[in-house]
Amino acid sequence: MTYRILANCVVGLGFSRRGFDAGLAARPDLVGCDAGSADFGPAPLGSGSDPKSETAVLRDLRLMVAGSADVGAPLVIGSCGGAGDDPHLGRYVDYVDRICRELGTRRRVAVIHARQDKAAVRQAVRRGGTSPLGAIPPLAVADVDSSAAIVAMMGATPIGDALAGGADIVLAGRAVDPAIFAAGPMLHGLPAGVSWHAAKSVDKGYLACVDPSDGSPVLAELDADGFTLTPTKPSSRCTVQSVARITMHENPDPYRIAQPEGEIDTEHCVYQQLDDGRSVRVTGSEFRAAGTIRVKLEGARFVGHRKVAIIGLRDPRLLADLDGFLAEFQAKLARSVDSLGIERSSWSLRWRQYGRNAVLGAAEPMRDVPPREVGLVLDVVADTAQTAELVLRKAGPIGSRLDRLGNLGGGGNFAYPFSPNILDGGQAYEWSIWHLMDAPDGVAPFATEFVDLGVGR
Amino acid sequence: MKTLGDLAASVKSANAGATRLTMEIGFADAETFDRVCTAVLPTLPETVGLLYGLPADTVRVWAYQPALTLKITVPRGSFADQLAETDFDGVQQHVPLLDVRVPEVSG
Repeated sequence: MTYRILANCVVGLGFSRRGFDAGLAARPDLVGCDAGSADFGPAPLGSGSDPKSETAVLRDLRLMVAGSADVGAPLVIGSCGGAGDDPHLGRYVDYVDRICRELGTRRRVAVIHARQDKAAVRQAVRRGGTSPLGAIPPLAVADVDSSAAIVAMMGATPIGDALAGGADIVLAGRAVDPAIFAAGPMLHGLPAGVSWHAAKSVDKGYLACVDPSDGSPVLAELDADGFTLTPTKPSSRCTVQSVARITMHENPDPYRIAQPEGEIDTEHCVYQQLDDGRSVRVTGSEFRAAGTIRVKLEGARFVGHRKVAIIGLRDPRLLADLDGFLAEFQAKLARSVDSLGIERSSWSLRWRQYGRNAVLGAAEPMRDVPPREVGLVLDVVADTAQTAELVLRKAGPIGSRLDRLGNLGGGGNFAYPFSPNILDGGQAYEWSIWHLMDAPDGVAPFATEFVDLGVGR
Repeated sequence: MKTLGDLAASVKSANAGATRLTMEIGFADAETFDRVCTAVLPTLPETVGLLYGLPADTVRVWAYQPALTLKITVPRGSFADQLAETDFDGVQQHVPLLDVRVPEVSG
C-alpha cells in the first residue's frame, strides 16, 4: 500500500511549473500547499489582509486546482490567505470559484473555518483550559475581549473529516502545516508516524531540496514502513541533510515536533540517500498521541494608527551624543504636543537607529563602534491617524532644529529622502493571544461547510 | 582561533513562533560537526546566554546529527513591547554566534 503526496511551499511564493507537471505525472493521491505564516507578524490577522499579492496567489492556485482535478486527487490548502481567518478564507473561496468557472469545472469544496468565537475562548479561559505557548503570561479574559481577531490552528482531524466527506478541494483556515498533508495518508490507513513525519518533511515544499531557489515541488511516497522524498524537477536534489533540516525548521526542538493531536518523534529515524543521488528514504518515524488535543490560538489586538518618518543623520558632532540628542528631542516633542491639548496616553513614539544596533540591540557585538551615519526611523502610533500625523509633523522641525551644541547656524539635523516625508504605516497590531487551548476532539473549534464551486457537472 | 562563522557551512536564525528564537549552525561534513560539537557544546548554553543576555538555563541546545546541525533555541524577549520589534521573522538574530571561538580539540 503506497500513497503519494505532491507538495508545494506557500501559495503565492511560486513553484516550478515543469516540476509540478512532472509531479502530476507520478499520479499523486493528494496535492497540498500551505498558504500561511505568522512570520509577517500580527497585522495580517488583525486587519484581514493577505501578505501575498492576489496575482501571484491566483497563478499558484490555478495550476494546483487544474492539476489536481486532472489527476483526480484532492487538493488541500491550509491557512488560506496567510492568517487563515474568515476574511482570508472568503477570498480563497472566491478565487477557487473563479478558477473553476474559468476551467469549466465544478468541485465539491470543504471550507473549514478557524475563526474563534470570543465567548467560547472566554469559557476556555475561565475553566482553565488555556496555557501560554512560551514564556508569556497566562491568557486573561481581557486579552480575549481586546482582540480584533482570534483563530485556532487546526490539526489533521478536521481536514481528515473533510476528505472523508468527499471534498475535491479542502480550503482550511489557520492550520498547522503538517496537518495539510498528514490527514490524507492516515485516512488511507497508513501509520500515524509515517504520515505525520512525511507531512512535516513536505510542508515547506522546495525547502526540502538542496537548492530551494530551484522552486521544485516535492513528491513523498509513503508506505507502511517509511517514506521516500524526491524533488519533481529533474535538476533538483534532496539529501539526508536537506531533508533532516526540514524537521527542525522553525521548531524549537529538532527531534520532537508538537502538533495538536500529539508529537512527531524523529529520534530513532534512519535517513538514507538512495542510489539516484536525489531521493531520500526515511524510516523509524514515530507519533505519540497527546492525552488531550490542544490547539494553538492566535489573537491580534489593534493598538493604533502608525505614521513613520525615515531620516538620515550624518554630522559626526550630532552622532557623538545621539542618546543625549534623542532624549532632549523626545522631551521637547512631548511638551509641544501637550501644548496642543493632546493627551500623552493617546500617542507613543519609538525609534530605530539603523547603523547603530537597531537589528540586534544589546546583543550587537559591535555595539560600541561609533556609527558614521544613522538611519533614524521615527515610529509614532496613536489613537487616530490624525494624531500620529500631527506628532510627526511636530517632530520634524523640533528634531531638525534642535541645536544642543550651538553650531547648527540655523541649519537642520534631519536629512529626509522623501517628499512628503511622513509615511503611512497603516493600522498597527500586536499579538494578544499566543496560547494553547484544550480541544478534546480536535474538531469542535473548526466549523466545516461544504459548497459546490464552479460550473457544470 | 577559528570561529563558528569560519567553520560552519550555514548559520541562520528564525522565530519558532512569536515567543521563541531558534538558531541553526550547519556543517558540511560529519568530521567538522563532531569536532565543533566536542569543542563548544558543553559550554554553549553559557556562551549563548552571555551573548544574548539570557540565563544559561533558558538556552536549549541540540547536536542534531541527521542534519549535521547545532541547534539553539532561546526565549524571545520582544513579546512585552511588540511595537518596538526590529525583526519580525527573527532572521538576523544569529549574527552574534558568528564570532564564537572554537578551541582546537586534540585527537
